[in-house]
Amino acid sequence: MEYFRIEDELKYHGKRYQLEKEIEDMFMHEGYTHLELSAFENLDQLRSLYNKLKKEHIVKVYGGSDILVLRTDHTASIIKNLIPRWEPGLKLKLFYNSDVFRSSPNGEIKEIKQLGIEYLGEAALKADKEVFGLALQILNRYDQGFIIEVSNSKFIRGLIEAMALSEEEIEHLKDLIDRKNRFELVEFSEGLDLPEEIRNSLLNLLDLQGDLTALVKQAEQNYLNPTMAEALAELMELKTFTDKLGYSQHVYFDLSLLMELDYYDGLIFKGYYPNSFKEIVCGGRYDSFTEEFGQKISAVGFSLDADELMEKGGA
Amino acid sequence: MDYLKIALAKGRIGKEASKLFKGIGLCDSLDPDSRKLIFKDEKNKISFTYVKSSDVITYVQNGVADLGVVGKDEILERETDLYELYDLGFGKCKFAIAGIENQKLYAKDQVLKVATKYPKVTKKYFAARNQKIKVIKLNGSVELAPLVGLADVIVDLVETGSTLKANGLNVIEEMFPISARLICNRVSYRFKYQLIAQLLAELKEMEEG
Repeated sequence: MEYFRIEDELKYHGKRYQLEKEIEDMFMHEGYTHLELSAFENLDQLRSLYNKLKKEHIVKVYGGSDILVLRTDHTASIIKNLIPRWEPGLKLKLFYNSDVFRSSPNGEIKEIKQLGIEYLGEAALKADKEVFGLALQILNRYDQGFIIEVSNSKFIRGLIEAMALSEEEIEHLKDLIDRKNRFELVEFSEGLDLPEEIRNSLLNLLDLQGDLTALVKQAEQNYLNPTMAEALAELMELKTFTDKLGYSQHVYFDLSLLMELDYYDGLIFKGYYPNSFKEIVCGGRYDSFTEEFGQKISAVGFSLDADELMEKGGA
Repeated sequence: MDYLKIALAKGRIGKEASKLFKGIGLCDSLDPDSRKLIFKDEKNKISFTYVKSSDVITYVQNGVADLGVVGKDEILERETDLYELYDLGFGKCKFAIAGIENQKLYAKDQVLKVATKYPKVTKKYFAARNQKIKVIKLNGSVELAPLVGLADVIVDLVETGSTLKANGLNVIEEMFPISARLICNRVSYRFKYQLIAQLLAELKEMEEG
């Protein structure tokens, strides 16, 4: 049996460095500046985020009297650092290239390399388009068979707000939507005291995917509040933009899309390659998350899984 | 065009699933009793693989299979990141707590000992009602545990209850029902959406017709 030789290993690292550099160059070309982040976070300061992330996935480290955790997410680190001393009128374009850490159920710690950007302080729609456009451009560069799923989280938020549910009920409901579990969703909704029109809208949610123009029409036939309508209008605007770029056959709208980290409020997206079974890119808008750190700032970004991109991107 | 790859759990669920898929005109050669593990339907571009029921999720999660047929019990016991697209309606049974005659679920001065093949399901169920328990994980013949004094009660899947009865155990509390589910890899769902949507429509038509 032949082992992986040092020479081969170095070749692999060389290729990988090349890929990271290419992507960093694209970020810098678009005016993003590099930001170095600490690998440690204080558990208490990010309580609101970590409540949403499963506790067993967080890698805990004990330092003195504080419980520290290894960074699980770049966006949270950046927001926590910058928002408390934010200056009005500031516009920032940042990128990072570092690791996040996750613990798996069997106690193994995974180190995941992420490259990503954050666009802070710019008018929402302008920043959404730029960030989304850049994600499309990068995905397309390494595999033209890519697909990107898009939604606007205000749609589900609007719908859930209209239902007056408890925290546990909301969590369960989101889990069912996230798993596209229609059968249990029907069952669960029957146990809730919901007005007929809202229940219909909820049961219709899993069908709201595919051609945006058609699904907007479909959504409008059911219960729709201003928050939900806003989500649809923003998506229509984004569609015009991606059509113009010529990416329409790569973009799939799916209004039942949910993200692992629940801080998004507005545009959300996940990008995939045909032979990979992990998300290559995921991102979105998270203004209301910045509010938890003192001020509501326009904020949008995405992160790329560098390992998966390297393996499947044909680079 | 790529094949749509479906992983089926060996055993009872796999047999029911093969009947169902043949019923909608797919893969006539599908034979759960054969030693063959892979069956291909060239015409409809679908392939079926028989794997151990606890491996179906692993196959689908890693994208080796696009879809899988597996009991809800497996889904609940594992950490999964999948779509659950359809309740296939067969493989019906219940999770239940069982024990010997007059066994109580509460004792003031003791922590209840529960033997089960499903520690995650068990912990979650008792945690939801704030009861502290001690879980003893077994891999089979769970019914023995209360008889030999290993545990006070068991949590297990109950279909007819005849295995329990044969061992002198009774259902103390029914927890929730279980059935076979069609699960789907998240990325496959996007890339093979047309094929999957068509399959779902056919299953639905069959159920309603």
